[in-house]
Amino acid sequence: MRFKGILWLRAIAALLVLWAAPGPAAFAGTREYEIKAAYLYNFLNYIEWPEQSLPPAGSNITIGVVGENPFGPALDPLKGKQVKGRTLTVKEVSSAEDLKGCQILFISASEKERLPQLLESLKDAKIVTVSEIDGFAQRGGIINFIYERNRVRFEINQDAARSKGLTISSDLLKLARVVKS
Amino acid sequence: MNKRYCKNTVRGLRLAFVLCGLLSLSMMESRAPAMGMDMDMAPFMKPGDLTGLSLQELYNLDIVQMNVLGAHTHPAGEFMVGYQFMYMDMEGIRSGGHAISPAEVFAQNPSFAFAHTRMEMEEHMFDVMYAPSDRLTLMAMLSYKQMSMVHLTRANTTFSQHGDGINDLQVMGMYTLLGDIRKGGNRLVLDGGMSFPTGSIDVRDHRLGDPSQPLQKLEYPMQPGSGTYALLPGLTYLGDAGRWAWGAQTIETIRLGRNSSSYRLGNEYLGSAWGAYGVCEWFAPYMRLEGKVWGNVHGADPAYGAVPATAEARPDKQAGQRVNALFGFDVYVPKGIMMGNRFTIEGGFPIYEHLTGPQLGLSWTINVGWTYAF
Ligand SMILES: [Cu+2]
Repeated sequence: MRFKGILWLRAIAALLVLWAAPGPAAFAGTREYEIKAAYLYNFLNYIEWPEQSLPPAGSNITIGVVGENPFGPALDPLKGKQVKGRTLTVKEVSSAEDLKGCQILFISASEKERLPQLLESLKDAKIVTVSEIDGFAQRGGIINFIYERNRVRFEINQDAARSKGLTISSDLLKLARVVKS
Repeated sequence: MNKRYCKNTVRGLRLAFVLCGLLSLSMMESRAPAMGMDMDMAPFMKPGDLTGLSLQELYNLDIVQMNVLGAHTHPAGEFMVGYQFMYMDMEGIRSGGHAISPAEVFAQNPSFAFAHTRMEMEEHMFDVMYAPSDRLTLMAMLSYKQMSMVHLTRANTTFSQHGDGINDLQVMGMYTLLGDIRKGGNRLVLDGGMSFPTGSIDVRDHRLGDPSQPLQKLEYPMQPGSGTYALLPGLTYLGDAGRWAWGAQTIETIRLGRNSSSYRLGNEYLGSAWGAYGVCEWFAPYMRLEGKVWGNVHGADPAYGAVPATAEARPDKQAGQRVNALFGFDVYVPKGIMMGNRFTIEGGFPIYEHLTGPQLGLSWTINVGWTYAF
């Protein structure tokens, strides 16, 4: 080829492109939790809460995380989004009162030991409990993330949702593995 | 300009364009509003923000992303089918580290009747992968090669010859020694494989490229197979953090015994290192350096005679070293009719080349890959 003889020119071109590549981003979240975060956001649109159980229109709708937060910065893009005429907030919660102020509560795997007490205390609250603990949905939780062939999928305990007066859309159920207590 | 060359090049480029076209079509299709959300925003999402994806798209999104042509493993239970088109354009004669003219080749080698001035190679590679466990991934690869070579005679006329056929079947196992594919981060993978002599070593074309002439065995580089078994040991390092993925791999081809034409191709030592940056969920450009060292032919094929008429038929003029710089990008289709498909396109050229020549040097190369995991 014409510029065959000038290999060094190509080498410089290669180095220039390398040098121009963007520097390391201060981003360390893993993809698995980015997917889970996006699911949490989507769940809000596919679940109906009894209107009186939601905070008044124009106020906040809340996703809480209890226990060690595995998301890192993956939940940040959710903050401030408008859902159901309310502003989405995301926070780490620990007190019983804060827990009950959430519409979706993500229960971290770190809370495995105290899961029975936690679920018991939320029994009457109109909260969609979500976790990633084996058997969570069978034990009375509502949605449990599972790992399936390189994809994040989920189980839903429809009876548990119904008993709280929560309606899960058929589009969501269609993708879920439906389990019973 | 030789017509067959034009045809080959055009065919290769056309394939690349068709793939690009399909890809952009599927991207356009996927930008239609879905589930009432503004999907037009999806391509402009910030890194790490998947909230623009619909439920169905999240459902089908791979956690572990494959980024670069070359090394990867799969999580337990996953199958993958892939196709790769590779094109190499070799032009210009080199000896040692520098270019030489055909006149110099003839002057330095009185026994040569021909000098090769250009070679094109097209390879269609099919591969299947399966992971019986998170630690072990199995792979089988078979390719179909087409080659053509332009010859220059001492009388300054040219002709070309063509060869094609299936390549040697390669079977490989990749075992993760350190790290965990589901967690990502740093991983060290031990590779071990075997190459089987399924490719032909007796591909022929007409003498002087003239259909009225008898068939003649084509030279070593024009044979699609090796005729011998080979061991394929290797080691792969894979790393990722956030939007970045990088890795390095070395694979050796240790050829065994002699083939039915009483020779054995030289061993090959391949090393590659790369870095990729995920700009968004479906687009990751990357840069790759690939180095290869290969040896001379051991023994000799008696078909070329005691005094071969070209350098390509000389067992002692086959070895070389080359480092290619390759630039590419990886596109994952997270939605639309092409969902779950992955396309990789890379092109490159040598930044270092040292050939035990006279041998043809590499001008440029392009690789187009498609994979689908399920
Ligand atoms: Cu694969």
